[in-house]
Amino acid sequence: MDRIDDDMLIAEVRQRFEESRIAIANLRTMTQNLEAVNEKLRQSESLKSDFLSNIRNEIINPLSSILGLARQLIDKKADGRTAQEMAAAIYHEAFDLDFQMRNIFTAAELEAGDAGLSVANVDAAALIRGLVAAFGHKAAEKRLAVEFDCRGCSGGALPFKTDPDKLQKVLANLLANAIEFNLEGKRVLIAAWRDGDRLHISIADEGIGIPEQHRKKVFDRFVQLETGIRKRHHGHGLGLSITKALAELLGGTVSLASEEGKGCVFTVSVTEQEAGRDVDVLSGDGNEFIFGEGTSY
Amino acid sequence: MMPETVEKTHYLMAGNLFVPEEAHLVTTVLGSCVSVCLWDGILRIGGINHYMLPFWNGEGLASPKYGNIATAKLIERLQELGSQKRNLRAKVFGGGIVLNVKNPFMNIGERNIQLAEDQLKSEGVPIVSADTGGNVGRKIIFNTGTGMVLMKKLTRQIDDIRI
Repeated sequence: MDRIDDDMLIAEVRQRFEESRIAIANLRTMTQNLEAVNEKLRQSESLKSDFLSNIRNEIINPLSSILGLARQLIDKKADGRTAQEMAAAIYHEAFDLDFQMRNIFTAAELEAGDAGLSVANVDAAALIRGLVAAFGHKAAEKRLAVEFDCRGCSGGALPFKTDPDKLQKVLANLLANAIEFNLEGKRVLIAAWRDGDRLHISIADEGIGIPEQHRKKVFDRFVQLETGIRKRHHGHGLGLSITKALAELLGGTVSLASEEGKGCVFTVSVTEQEAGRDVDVLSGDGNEFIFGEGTSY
Repeated sequence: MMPETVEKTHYLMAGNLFVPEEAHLVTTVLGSCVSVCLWDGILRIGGINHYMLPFWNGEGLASPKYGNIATAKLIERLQELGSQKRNLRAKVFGGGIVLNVKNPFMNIGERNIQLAEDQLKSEGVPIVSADTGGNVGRKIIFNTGTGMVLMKKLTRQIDDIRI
C-alpha cells in the first residue's frame, strides 16, 4: 500500500466533506420541492371535494329555475311580454349550464386521456365571430363592447388547419372569462394573426387584472381566486386548466399578461396540424416494418 | 409482419391513453416520453399509454400526461374491461435522453423509465420486454390483439423530436 502523506489525506477529507455538503444541499432542495408538491396535491384534493359539494349550487339551482320558469310558461301564467322575458331567462340559465357541463366533460375527457385530435380546415375568423355572437347576450348584460381585430385576415377569413372543436372550447373559455371578469361598460378586445405555422389569438379585458403571485395558479384545476363567501363568479375553476391542456394538445401554449387595475390579456398560440396525420403515419410505417428495419417485441 | 386480421388503427397522442375492446394497431412516437404497453393473454386485450413527465405536481389537470396517473389509469381501464391484474404483462419503450443534462435529477427520460419500472413492480405486473433509454427516438406499433410490439429506432437526432 502506498504511503499517504498528511496533505493528501487532508485534501481527500476536505473533498469528501465538500461532496457530502453538496449532496445534503441537493437533498434539502429536493425535500423542499417535495413538500411544496405535497401541499399542492393536498389542496387539489380538497378543492376536488369542494367541487363536488358546490356542484349543487352550480347545476341544481339553474336547473330548478329553468324548470320553474318553463312550468309557468306551460301553465300560461304570463302574458306576451313577460313570456318573452321568461324565455330569455330560461335561455340564459340553460346557456350557462350548457357551458359549465361542457367544461366538466372536457376536463373529465382530458383527465381520462381520451382527448384525440380531429383536424380540419378551419376559418378561425368565422369561429371567433360565431363565438362573439353566441356570447352577445352576456356582453350586453354588462354593456360591454366586444371588438374583433382580424389582423391576419384576408377577405375576412383566416384559414388554419386545427381541431375546430378544441380551438372553440379554448376561445369560448377565454371569452367567457373576459366578459365575466370585466368591469361594466368596458371593452373586450380580440385579435387574431398568423405567424408562419402558428396562429395567435389574444383576448383582452379591462377588468381589475390578476396580481403577479396568482398568475400561475389560475391555470390549476378547481382554482378560483375568490372562494367561499367572497365568491361572486360562477363556475368551477375548470376553464383555464382546460384551456391550457387543450392549447397544449393543439401544439401550443396559452400565456397571460396583466397589469393590475388595467385588465388581462390571454394569448393562445397553436401550431398548424397536418390533416389526416393518423392515416399517413400508419401507411408509411407499415412499409418501413415490412422491409425489415424494425424490431419486434 | 403485421397480422392482416387487425384493420383498426389508432394514432396515440402524447398525454393520452388508449384501451380498446377490439384489437387495434396503435402507433405512437416517443422521445423522452415513455409508453407502457399492457397485454392480457387470457382475454387477449391490451392498452397503452404515452406519458411525458413522471409525476403530477398538482399543476393544471391531473391528466395522463404524467406517468403516475397514466399507468394507474391504464391498469384501471383494463380492469374495467374484465382483466385480472395477475394476467397482465408489460412492455416498456421510450425514455430517450433529449438534452445532455448532467444532473441526474433533471433527466426526464431516465426518470420516466424508472417510474414505469417502480410502478409496475409495485402493481405486481411483470415487464416481459423493454427498449428504453439512449439518445434515440422510437416509433412503436402495438397490436392490442396479440400483444406484439414493432419498434423502429428513429435515426433523426432526438432533439428534433418534440415529443
